[in-house]
Amino acid sequence: MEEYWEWLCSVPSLSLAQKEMLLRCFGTPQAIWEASGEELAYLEERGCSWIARVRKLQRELTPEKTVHMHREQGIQFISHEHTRYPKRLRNITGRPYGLFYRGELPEEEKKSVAIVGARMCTRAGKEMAELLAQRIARAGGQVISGAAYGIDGAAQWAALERGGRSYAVLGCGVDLHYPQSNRRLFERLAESGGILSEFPPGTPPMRQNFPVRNRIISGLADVVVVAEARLRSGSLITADFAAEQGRTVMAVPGRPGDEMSAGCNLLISQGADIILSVDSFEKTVFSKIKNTKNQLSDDLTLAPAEKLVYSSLDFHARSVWELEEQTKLSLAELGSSLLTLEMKGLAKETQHNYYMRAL
Amino acid sequence: MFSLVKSAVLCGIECRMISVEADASDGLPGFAMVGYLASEVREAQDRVRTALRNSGYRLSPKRVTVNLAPADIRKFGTGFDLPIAVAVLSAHGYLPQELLDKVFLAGELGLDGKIHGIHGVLGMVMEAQKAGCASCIVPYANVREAAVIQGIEVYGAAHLNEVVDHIVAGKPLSRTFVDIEEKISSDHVRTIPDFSDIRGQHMAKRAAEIAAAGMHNLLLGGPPGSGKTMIASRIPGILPPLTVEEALEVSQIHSVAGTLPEEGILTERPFRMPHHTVSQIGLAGGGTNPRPGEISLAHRGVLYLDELPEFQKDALEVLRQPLEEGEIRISRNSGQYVFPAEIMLVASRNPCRCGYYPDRKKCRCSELEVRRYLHRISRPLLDRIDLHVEVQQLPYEDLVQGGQEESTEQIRGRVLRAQEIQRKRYRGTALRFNSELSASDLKKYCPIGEGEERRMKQIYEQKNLTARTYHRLLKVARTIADLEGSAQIEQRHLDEAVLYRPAEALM
Repeated sequence: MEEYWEWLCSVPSLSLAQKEMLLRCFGTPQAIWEASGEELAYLEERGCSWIARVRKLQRELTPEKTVHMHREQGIQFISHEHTRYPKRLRNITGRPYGLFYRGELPEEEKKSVAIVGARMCTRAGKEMAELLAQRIARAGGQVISGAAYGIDGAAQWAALERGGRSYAVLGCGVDLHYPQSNRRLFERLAESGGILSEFPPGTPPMRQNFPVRNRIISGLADVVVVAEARLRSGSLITADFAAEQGRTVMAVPGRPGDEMSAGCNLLISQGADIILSVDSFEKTVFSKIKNTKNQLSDDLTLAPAEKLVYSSLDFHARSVWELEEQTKLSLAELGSSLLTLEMKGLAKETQHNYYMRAL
Repeated sequence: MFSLVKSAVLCGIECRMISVEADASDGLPGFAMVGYLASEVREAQDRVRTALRNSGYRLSPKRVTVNLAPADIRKFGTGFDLPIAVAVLSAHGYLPQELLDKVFLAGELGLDGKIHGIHGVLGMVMEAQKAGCASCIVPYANVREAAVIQGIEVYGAAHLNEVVDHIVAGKPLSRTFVDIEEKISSDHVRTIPDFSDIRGQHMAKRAAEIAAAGMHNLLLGGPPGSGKTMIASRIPGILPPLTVEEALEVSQIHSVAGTLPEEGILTERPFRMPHHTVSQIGLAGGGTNPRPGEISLAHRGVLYLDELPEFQKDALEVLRQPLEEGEIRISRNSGQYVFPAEIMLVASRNPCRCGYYPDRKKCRCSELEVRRYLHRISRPLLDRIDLHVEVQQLPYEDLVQGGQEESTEQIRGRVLRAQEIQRKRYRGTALRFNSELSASDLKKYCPIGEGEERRMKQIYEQKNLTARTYHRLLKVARTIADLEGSAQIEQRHLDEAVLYRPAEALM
């Protein structure tokens, strides 16, 4: 049966409703494949012009060939009837009939958290997403997101770098790397996580695909975190889906009137959980928290200047000149301390000459 | 009757002596000019004839031939009007040839006989002095630049009649004299603004100091209005003062370009800031009779390219050779011209097109646009910039707060000491500054101890350096050590140098 599902799901640009209608008419995907030309033509004449695409694929590819072609490209498929189909997706409305994927599927028993947010984000938003992702990775959870620029990609990178697993749900075919410049992220995702899509390989990234795939992002997660979103943001769609699917929605608050976080604040006002700190987030989501505080006091090898610099570092990145202003150290001392802290794994340079505390 | 007057022609920034010969003989009256002339020189005959008549000379109808020798050098420029006029007058018997033997003449004539200023007088007079001329008469407008040349009498004339009177009628022009040594040492009215005007920005100032000490090139990043140009324009002030030879050399270039200040000589290092629409030729120099470009005008000073990514790509690429070799060679069919171009390159860039990335409240550029913007600067050019530093937007408190900032004078003191150390270290070699060290020189001049070696290894791995960035780091560390007066590169020097490495986003 799997190959027939795979074949049906490979029909280009076939919406969920259209697949549903076909299945109502014919019963099984096998029946659709075996349907005669007249039957399909009849439907096509009755106003279902999209049937033409089904007929075209019917003429061009057999289910066996479809399967063979995809495996050769390293693309796996799983239908909703398969036992390994993600349990989290089973009960959501509008669950996809099948998923194409590269790498692995998300693990059932691991806590899975979706981190979503704006593509155009502030540095603070990005850093928050990274911090949360690192905590998730450290606590043994998995990060689900959309592999886009900004929050999505940053969170997934951070999780992968911490040795965690991460899964991306795409709005295009899994063989396409969109956005192009996250190419390296896609490679890493395929190695330690997975890239999933309900759209057949080769589907270009069309606008209308993205809101639709958001239901899978929220569906695959136990908790959905909105790290930063404006009022009109795709992340709010994800949050809506999440609420509908009964997932916990959490949002990183912003200052009132801060338009970059206005979407998050709106969610909180509507009842989303507020993320007060990275620790409180970890406590709520993973209930038990490893004690990492005061890690520093055990480390007696730090020089006084390094201790001073460490205490000035924050969980958001600060520039070297800010640190210089605060610590009143010379640039040479400051540079030395930062390098040493970085080598000891206590500090992290997020971008050129911006440092934050590492976790 | 035959007569001969000495003048000179500009070939790039060099000058060649030219003999202006005139002969007036019987025959069909006419005026002929020969000697490989450009059109502006050919036009001289009309200006000269009219100017002579309007100055009160009635020339008898003769056949006049003017030759500019040697005939194999292309003659450009308008400076031949005056020598031609004087030669013609002499050929007609108004001036005795003996009085013209050791006189150098150059200037453009108006139809009324007035003498207008020309370009390149400084170099011409320098050449005339070398050729053994005892005196020179130049346009009054150029007399101050001519007077900086010692060992030759310099006179400025405003009208053709004054010249003739000076030579024959015993009504000499007043001699202009400038003591160049004194002018350079006593010139305390500094036009370069002071570093103490800049509040905060310690890191950027420190980078400027290091750049000046080792003559490293510098790239300033930061949002618009944060003070990049302010810092750059103050850098010439912390470089060592010009020596007399350097001042003459730089002034000669500016004389050719007509950009000399009123007093006739540059006493401070030039600061050039071409607009980003500048063409390849505008930057490198060129034209049929090649003129120096912005790079040469910044010789021994600072060339500041504001908004580097906005510059035309091919204009920037011409920077590569002069940055490496300290000169620009331009070939034209009239010959090859060499323009000096020993500059310190200071450039600035915004973080993105709108200038506010990563402040997302103001910046609407997509990640791709940001990256594309930064990538417009070519790798080879970036590879020649040792120091990269970010200039930050100052908070209001810092802006208004009192408190004394370091002055240009104080910073220059340290720069001078560091350069002195370099001079001693590189004595007897072709090197002068740390920025000139090649990869093979590094072993010899930048040895590092075992502990530092280990540190470098860690830095190399932690910061994902390449071989090239590694070398640059060492060079900068060398300069930092020199500023401190330390013979050995210590770990703290390396650690500070790390702060000035290029941002990954650019690479």
